[in-house]
Amino acid sequence: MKSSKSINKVWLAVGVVLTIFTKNSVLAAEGVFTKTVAPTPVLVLSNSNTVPSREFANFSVLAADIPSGTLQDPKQISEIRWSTTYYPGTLSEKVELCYFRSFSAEKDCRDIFPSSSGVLMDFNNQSFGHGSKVTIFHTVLGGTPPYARPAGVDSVTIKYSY
Amino acid sequence: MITISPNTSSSNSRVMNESGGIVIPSTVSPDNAQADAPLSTRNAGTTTVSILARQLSDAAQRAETPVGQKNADSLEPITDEQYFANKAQHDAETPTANDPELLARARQATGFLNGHDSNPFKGLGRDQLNLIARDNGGAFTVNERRVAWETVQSMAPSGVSYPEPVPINGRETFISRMFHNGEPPVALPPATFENGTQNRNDFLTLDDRALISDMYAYAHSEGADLRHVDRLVYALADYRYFSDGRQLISNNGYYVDEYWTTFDFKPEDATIASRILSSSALGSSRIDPGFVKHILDPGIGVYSHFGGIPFLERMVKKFSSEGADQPPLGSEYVTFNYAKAADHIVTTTHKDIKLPPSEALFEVVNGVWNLTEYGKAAGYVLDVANRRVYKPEEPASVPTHPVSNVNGPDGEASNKTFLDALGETREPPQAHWIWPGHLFKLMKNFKP
Repeated sequence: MKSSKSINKVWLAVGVVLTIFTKNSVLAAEGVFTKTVAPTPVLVLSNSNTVPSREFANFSVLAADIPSGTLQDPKQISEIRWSTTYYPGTLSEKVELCYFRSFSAEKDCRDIFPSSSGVLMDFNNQSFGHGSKVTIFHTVLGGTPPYARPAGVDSVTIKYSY
Repeated sequence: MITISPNTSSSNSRVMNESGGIVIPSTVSPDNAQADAPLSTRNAGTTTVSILARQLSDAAQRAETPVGQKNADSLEPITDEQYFANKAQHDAETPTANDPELLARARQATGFLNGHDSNPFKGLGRDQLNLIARDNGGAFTVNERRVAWETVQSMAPSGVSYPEPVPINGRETFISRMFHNGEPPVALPPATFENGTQNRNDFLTLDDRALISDMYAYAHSEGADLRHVDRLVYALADYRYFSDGRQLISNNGYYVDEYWTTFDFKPEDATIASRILSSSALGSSRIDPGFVKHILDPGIGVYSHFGGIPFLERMVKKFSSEGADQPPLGSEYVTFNYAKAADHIVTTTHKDIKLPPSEALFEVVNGVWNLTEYGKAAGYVLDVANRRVYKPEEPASVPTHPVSNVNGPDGEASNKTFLDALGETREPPQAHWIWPGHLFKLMKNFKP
């Protein structure tokens, strides 16, 4: 009984050592996923000067965007590069970039700027894979009825390790 | 060089220079009081007229000889219907005179309209702005005229911009301004994809709603533009929607053009923010202190609440146990200006912090697969049909995981790990060893 416990302890120690030694060599390769999407037009209502309107561009990661044979392997985000458009003729535009883990409805977001670009590290180490999604939300006031339309497109590039 | 007297006269009248030759529009109304700064520079008791002053003078002369031209017509090219139809053309327009100052100001005006730059006519009074907006003599670009027109619009009192009758009490004001059709029940976070476009005011708590109603009533009684309250409500609604801010990442920086760049409140706002956070009123304020700390965090506030910090301070204090001792809101809140990020945010580029070079092997751009230059240099090939990235020496029949020796195009695996050693055993693992299940499998397969 006692020797069995000792063996377990040895295996446990081996496991810890393996975990430490293999950590850096596991997620060694990196790939990049890029999509460009025009956000949808904003419906301008009569009270659009006081009630913000919000539309978005959706960047979903499909199985076809992932190397075959690695679909189930763990992957982690290592940066998110973005560029945003803007809605001409509107006021106080605000933009959020949100990340949804695979097949999750909940999101984590951070504010960015309209008509701008940058590279975020805020979502690094979050799990990534098909079913993951980035959404860029544009919130505006005002606009000319019936729709305020975006001047261009939003773009998202996710670099991930696997 | 042209010199003028600094004297002013009545509206739409002119200031004559000592030689009687040059005229510029006067600055008489309170909002015109600071108009001298961009127009002229003082030198030994005389005033040197800038290019802008000369242009304004010319515009004023043109305005006095309308030749059948109506003011409303002169605004058509810069109002929404026509302006946005030709936006690309307006953005590309340059002044006819090849003067660096004019070119710079035209670029600044375009940048301002697109949210990148500050207002080139900041500080000008309503009279000067109207001259610019209505001048179709070619002295100003269409975008410059548009900036002037927008600035005048933002200076208009709320009664002009919003002619609807003001509701009789704060609660009615709140409901009419913040909801489409009557007041809905309190919606509950978390923020999800499904509620992504829902009106975030729905997430305001009952206490929030009571407080906001009182804020509208107070602001109205003080003659303030209610859009000051609106801006505060948007920020509070966002806070509630994102689970009291827990789903919003705070970070006042990211990489721009490969360099780490931070965004902070301008010094005046930072001073006020610090004052709010250390004030005794915050503890007794009806405004949720958690929200106040959240929105005054530069990692949040610089993106979403720039320009609103002075009003927040007034509200924190007014709706605290110290509220009775607070002075009236003051004339600065009678009007509302939509804040531009460039006017309220200090941007710092940290040239010493550069984005690490990418070591991605491949990229998938809108569904199209390609090897990166790095991947090619590292000896990888891409089987597009099967979405496989591998080194040619590896067996093509095995799904390849480029997991080892990725140390750069010129490098080799500098440090072999224990896993590399395991890779040489009789049954090399085909999976990635990271989760507990994998670990047990590894232990089982391990044959020393």
